[in-house]
Amino acid sequence: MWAERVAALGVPWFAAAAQCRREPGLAGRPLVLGGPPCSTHVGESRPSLLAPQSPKARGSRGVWGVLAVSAEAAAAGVRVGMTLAQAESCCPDLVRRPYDAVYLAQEHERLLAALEAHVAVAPGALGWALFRPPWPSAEERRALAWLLDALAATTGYLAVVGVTEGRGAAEIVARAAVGTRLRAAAGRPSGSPPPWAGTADPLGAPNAVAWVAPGGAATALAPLPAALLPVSAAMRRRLTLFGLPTIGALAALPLGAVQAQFGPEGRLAWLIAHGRDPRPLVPREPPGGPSAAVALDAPCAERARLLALAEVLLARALRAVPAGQGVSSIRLVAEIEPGPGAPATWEQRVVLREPTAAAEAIRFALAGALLRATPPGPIVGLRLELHDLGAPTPCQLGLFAPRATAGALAAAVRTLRARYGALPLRRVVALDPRHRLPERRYALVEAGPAWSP
Amino acid sequence: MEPLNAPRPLAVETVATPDGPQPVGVRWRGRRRRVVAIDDEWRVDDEWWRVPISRHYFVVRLEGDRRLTLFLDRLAGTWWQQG
Repeated sequence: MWAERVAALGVPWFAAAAQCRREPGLAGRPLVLGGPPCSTHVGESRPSLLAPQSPKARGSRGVWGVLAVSAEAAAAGVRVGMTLAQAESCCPDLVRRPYDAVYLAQEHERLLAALEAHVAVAPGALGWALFRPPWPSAEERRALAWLLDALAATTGYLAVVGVTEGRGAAEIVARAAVGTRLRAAAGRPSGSPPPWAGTADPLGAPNAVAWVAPGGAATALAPLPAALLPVSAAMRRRLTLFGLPTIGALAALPLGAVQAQFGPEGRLAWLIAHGRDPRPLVPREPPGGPSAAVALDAPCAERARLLALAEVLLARALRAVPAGQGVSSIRLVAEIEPGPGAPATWEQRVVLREPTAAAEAIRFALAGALLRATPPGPIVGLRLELHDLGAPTPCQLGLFAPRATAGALAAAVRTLRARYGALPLRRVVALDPRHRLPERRYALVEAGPAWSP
Repeated sequence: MEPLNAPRPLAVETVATPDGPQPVGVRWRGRRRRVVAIDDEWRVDDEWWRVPISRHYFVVRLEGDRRLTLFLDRLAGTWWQQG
């Protein structure tokens, strides 16, 4: 039984392409995005085989590390994970920019939103998405080409799409198209032609459709390298040691033998190789909670003013929350004044312990988050988004109403525990109330995770 | 664990008496304040078997009718506020 047909759409060298959208002058130049290894990137995607430029590598020994490259830099031999010195030795004309994870996440979201205008999508790695082609098989290739053109017109990104049976196989086909494009850009022979070469050249046009006919996944995947399979590095290394260079070589083995050697991931790889990927594709719920934004006339670096601005935006955004609904998470995105080496955006997420529409409770959580982390520079714009709307958790009243102070204290304790995990509270214990030395009579101790007033 | 009511150092002006130094003024909250009366005083000598403690406590009334508990560490010769 074949798996359902899935399309994997991605923008090759997405991070560099996004940076070029921000700075059009960088187009066509060898570009690397990176930063020091200690820098944290909010909202970055998890690494995936679909993202050859995904931020899975950090520079070593405290030096500037390459986290993403452009096609031109990749063609010159620059790779993710290199240090800046290594990258510049490969390509002296290299242009470098800081890796702005928040901006990239926004661009990824923009890409998904543009796709969602046509199909229901499941998000993939940064710059990638998966969806079920809703068109008849005979129309699929033409419809996908149209979709890529529409996406390019809407977002400005030139994408590649691979479509075949199962999400794993679709990802492999799309990634193979990206790899072929890289080899073509480097001016090297691309080896054996891809299986769709007889029908359409996915790399000949700006937008590439790597289309595999229904039922042809196993045949299409067979000549591709086994390194494209979504398996661990250890299994990939063992596949090489076993002398299995292609996906077809793995598919030719009995399932039992593969499973005995490689376990569950071996079974999944074997099923993908046969076009029988069992993993379902679950489209995401399109986001779109209330939000509010403000652009500042002058840069602001004061935490108090930032908090005041956030409160104003919160009040504005809360007006759009439907009656009877509460908010579970808040996203605060600040646009930072441009500076050398600093990302231009900063993001902070606040997750509430339960859905609420009470401005005071949300403001309290927001203030705590802003006290823990502040933007890396003066901000010139601020946007606040409310996410995960739902019905507020009902509160069961007790038969005998407790004292108001005890109830308020219990609520504060629950909030602190939800926010910090551990309880940052201390309580007074009597050591020896009749001791002659006053400092030996009472002490403060940690309240402990299970303490309640 | 953090003890409550731990002693804090205090700048005290004293006058010598046959019973030892007695406070006549303190520097409290950044200002010098005159001691207008000593309401109470007592001695604490403890833990002579371990690290000896010898304190002379005073409950003084400052100008402005503010009461303060302070003690002289008789072994170190330093003044502390407590309570």
